[in-house]
Amino acid sequence: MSDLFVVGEKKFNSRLLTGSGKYSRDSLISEVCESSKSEIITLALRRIDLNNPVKSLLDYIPKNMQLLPNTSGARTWEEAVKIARIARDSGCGNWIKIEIIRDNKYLMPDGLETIKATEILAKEGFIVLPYINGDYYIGKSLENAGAAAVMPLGSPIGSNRGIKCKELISILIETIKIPVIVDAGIGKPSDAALVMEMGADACLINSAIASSPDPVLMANAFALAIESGRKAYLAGLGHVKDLAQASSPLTGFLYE
Amino acid sequence: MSSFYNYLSNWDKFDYIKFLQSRTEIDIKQILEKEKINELDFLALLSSKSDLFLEQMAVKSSSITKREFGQTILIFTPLYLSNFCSNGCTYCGFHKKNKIKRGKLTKKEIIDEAIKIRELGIQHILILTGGDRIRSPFEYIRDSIIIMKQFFKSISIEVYALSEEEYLELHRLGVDNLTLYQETYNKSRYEEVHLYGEKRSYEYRLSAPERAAKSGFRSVTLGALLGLDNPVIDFFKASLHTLYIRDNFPGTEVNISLPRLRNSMGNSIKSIELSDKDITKFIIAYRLFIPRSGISLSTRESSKLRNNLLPLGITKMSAQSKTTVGGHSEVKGDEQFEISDKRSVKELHRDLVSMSFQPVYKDWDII
Amino acid sequence: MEIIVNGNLKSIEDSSTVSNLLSNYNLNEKHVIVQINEIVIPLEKYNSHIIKHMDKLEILSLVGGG
Repeated sequence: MSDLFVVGEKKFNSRLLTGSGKYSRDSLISEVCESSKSEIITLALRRIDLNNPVKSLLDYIPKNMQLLPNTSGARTWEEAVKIARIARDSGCGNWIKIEIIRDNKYLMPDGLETIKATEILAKEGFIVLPYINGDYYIGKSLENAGAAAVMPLGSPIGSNRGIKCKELISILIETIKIPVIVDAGIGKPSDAALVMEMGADACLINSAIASSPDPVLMANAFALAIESGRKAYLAGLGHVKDLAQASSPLTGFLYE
Repeated sequence: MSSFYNYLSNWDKFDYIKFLQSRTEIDIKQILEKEKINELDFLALLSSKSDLFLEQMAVKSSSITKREFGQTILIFTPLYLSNFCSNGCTYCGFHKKNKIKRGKLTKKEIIDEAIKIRELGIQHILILTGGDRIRSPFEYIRDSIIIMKQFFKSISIEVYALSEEEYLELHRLGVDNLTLYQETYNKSRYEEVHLYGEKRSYEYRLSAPERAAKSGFRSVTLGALLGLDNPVIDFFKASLHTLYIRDNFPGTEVNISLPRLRNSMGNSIKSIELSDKDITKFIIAYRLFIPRSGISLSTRESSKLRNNLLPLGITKMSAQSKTTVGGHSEVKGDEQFEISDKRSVKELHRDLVSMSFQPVYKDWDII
Repeated sequence: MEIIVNGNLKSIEDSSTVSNLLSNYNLNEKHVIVQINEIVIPLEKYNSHIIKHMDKLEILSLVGGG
């Protein structure tokens, strides 16, 4: 059965997007890419620390992977647009994950700034994947602005208490025509399976893999969970619910 | 621009009869276990295989309606401005060639009629005219609405299909709801029963609710005249129409109405009989399909049937309706169809209260 | 002459190229992204691009991120 994940007019076999942050050593990234079978990986752009230069991250990323640079660090749409253009000009391709965060306490994405950045970058030919709160109107606006997918957070970042935004994500899945990729807040493979069962198109997992004592094994666990959730969604869940019977029949009048 | 016309054409090749006939009881059982049902599930519930599950469906439909609407029913009444008509709709009493008494209300008569209706306690009014752009031009409808705004809190229109600019203007004047029935969604049947006149254009009428929604109308009420063609297929497509508006125009509330074809004066066609059981099934299946949609049931139906269907999913009812022009003050033109439920607003009110429903006269009033 | 690198003032020899500057910092050319006055300089021009007085340089690199 072919069930490809289509985003930005590209087709992928894997519905697991991985991140490249927070690993105990960068060389783990290539092993994680392999065990997760992930085909899309996020990375960030930073000013170099001139006193302490490091090796390029690209050396650890398999060549055939789709790079998804993010705009982390951006606090306004102008900054996000700037980072996106630099990433493209430096050879990272035209995919961009927009991430505009203006508060340090909850790390919430700013939807209004994100819409502005998406409008501009989509017009410039970027494949734009914005990170958002699972808000219906923000999602609709991004769809109209030309986003290639939306990436709602599963839970506030770092909460690791399961999918707290479940109902909101399910509304997005129901109403948005572009792919919905659940990002942030997925702590366990079972969380990923849950959102995939609900009909999410893919998941982006970074911390939950990177912070596991065995990231390579955990990456594989997520791959299996996401595949399993996807298959359950395609198969259709079988709900069994008890139906109460009214004491006096509601349709009795038809037989009088 | 996508449109419902294009959306509906995706279903052109679908074999409805085969699908409906091949449903099994197991199919129906499985559908009733689902939390949300899709288009094909809904169609399956309209098949004869669901007959054995009507009570179970009714329980579910009733509880969804209670959850979404509570124990409230919106009351409104129609007001006929004119029964001049230049269309040839074979099923309709206003058919151009019917020898009936024709009339059109003057400004003064509109005020008289409005005063009488308001005295009944009615605040939601549904304005109707025959399809005649010469005798009842857009400007006439517009000016009548301006008068009516002084008497009623909410105005719905059921007039010939208008252009987007016209809908925009009426929306700005404060019209809340468009009521427009496609009559039949079967294009060739549509052309058979609409012999001439502006209404003959199937596509212009089909796309009117989209134009109204785009213009900012708060709500639309759609439906098929059940009995003109295969009622199951027509009702299914009318339901898809409400689904399409709901999904593409999130700011517009959708409602469905289930008018059954009745014998009116000059009705020259054979109708397909739709039983009380069928109409009951339609209502409860639709409620499972689109939980938040309004469902309206007109005074064409008997008071007994209306009372019985009330707890199953109905949210709107007309009351003390006259389908004549000037019916509440001085009759100037003959009726469009015969009313079955002849209860006055007061009587309906009393019945609703005795069934533990709250009659609502003002649902919406912009600040 | 003076230039600004990653927000800090720095003195370098006149007519230095991007390559000169990078080797001055011990940076591998392939591992960095260089922007002069908001324009990204392509890797193959590092050898020939002459830095001018008061140019604003950003030396960036790709790092891990989610």
